[in-house]
Amino acid sequence: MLRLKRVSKRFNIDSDREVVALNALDFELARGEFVTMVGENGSGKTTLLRVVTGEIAADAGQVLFGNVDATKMPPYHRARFVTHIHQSRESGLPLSLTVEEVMRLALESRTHGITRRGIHQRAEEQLESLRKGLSRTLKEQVWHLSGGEHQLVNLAVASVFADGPSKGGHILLLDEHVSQLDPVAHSVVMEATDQLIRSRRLSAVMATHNFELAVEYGDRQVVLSEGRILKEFVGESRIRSPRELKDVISNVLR
Amino acid sequence: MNDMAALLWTAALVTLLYAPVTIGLAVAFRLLNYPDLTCEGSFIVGGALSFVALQAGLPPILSLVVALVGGMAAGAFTGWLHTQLRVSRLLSGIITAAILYSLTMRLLGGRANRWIATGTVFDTIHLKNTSIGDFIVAGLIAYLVLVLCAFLYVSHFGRVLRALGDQEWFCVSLGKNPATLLIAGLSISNALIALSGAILMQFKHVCDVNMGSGVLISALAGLVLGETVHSARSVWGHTVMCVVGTGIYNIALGAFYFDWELGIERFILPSDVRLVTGLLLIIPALILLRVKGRYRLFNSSW
Repeated sequence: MLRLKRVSKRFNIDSDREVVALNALDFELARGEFVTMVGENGSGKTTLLRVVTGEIAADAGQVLFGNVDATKMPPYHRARFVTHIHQSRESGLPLSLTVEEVMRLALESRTHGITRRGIHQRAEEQLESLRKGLSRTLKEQVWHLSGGEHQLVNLAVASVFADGPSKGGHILLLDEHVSQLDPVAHSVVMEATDQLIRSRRLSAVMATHNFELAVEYGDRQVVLSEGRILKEFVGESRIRSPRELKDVISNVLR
Repeated sequence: MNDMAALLWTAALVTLLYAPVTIGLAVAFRLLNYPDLTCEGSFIVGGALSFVALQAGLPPILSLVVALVGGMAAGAFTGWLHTQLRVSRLLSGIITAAILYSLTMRLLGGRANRWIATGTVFDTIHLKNTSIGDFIVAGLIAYLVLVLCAFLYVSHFGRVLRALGDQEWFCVSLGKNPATLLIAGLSISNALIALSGAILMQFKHVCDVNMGSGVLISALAGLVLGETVHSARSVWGHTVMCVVGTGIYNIALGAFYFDWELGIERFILPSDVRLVTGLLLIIPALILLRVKGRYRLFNSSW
């Protein structure tokens, strides 16, 4: 579904503060696969996700969605294939719009000729399917949503995008998207995320600092360091306890 | 008509003439979250373009359309400077406004002002009382602008523009090119401002390169006064409050120059208008900050 081929990215080139964010990194994500990605700060997790969305242009290498070479594709075209959910609401949904307006924009941009009634119905369905009672927020401004509700609406928007023209599957990128939530919202949003990914067969990458999440969710664990993938654990070899994962990472880094 | 009624009448008329500027400025400053300083340039170029169009024998309504198109081009140029040449938001408008000043002089044949005897939109209605005729024409145009804005705001495009000002990345994920959207938004904003310049030129029957100076600050005052009186949640409500705010501003200004027979009138100079405008801008901003606990006049990231 998603392939990165020898992708490199450096920041502050030719200065004494040069940083190698991605170092000839290869990465593949299969249709319907859920990958959790861990690594210390500056290991390249966020840069990797941003290179996929096109927010950051790679210095070298290729980004492919299925068989489509997206390396030179502008971000607003890549949006057909990939949706990115950020950590904070500052880079999330438009705050002054109501939830209904946000859902409406998403639905209109993906489904041509949808009626007003159809929009309302679909918006309600999407929100309710993520969490019972979430459609209560339809008339509210995004500004007034709690952190958890904000991320749930973000997921609802992502699920609308996943219904769009990218019938071959949609990629969901999650950048620490539950890290600023209280414990209850944290688990509610994580459950909804997992359910959305599984029910729609989305291909997902979740960058996280939370080892418990990296252990509990996903089909594959990826450890990133200095812009490279150092270790991967798939299927039977997946690490089962946060402590073990922590040990593995400190061993790898040593 | 007594003096007080005359004051209110004039304020109302001036409000109708200038309302499109405040609405246009709100599109840039509030909807798009873009501190666009093209305003004074597009205002005079709108006036000059409609002057040239009238001179060329075009019907007055068409001359307003010419001004609209000119304003759109001005806004698009500002947007182009920012999105394609990476010029900062503030500087992009300043550059365009500077260029437009010279362009306006050229349109006026190298003269600072030109008179036009007749043939304006205000000469299309013949009433015994010309000031009522003026009122009707100015009111009709302001009404049209409001209706057009209402249509814009309830459309998909309008919602996308609002989302753009709030969260550019969200527009990208909708599959829209934010650069194109910004250029389109600034075009709309400056088209309205240029329209207002054309209307004012036709009302005064004179096109003056300096008639644009001070327009930005007074429109900002109208915007902030409107927001202080009532902070509307909907864009539509906000647009109406722009007109109300412009009205309050003009009444306040009229009141300032009114002969209250208190003996202080002789200390007031005509040039104090900008001082008063500045105060009318700062005081409501302070009220917003202190009383309502919010301050939106200038975004700190601008």
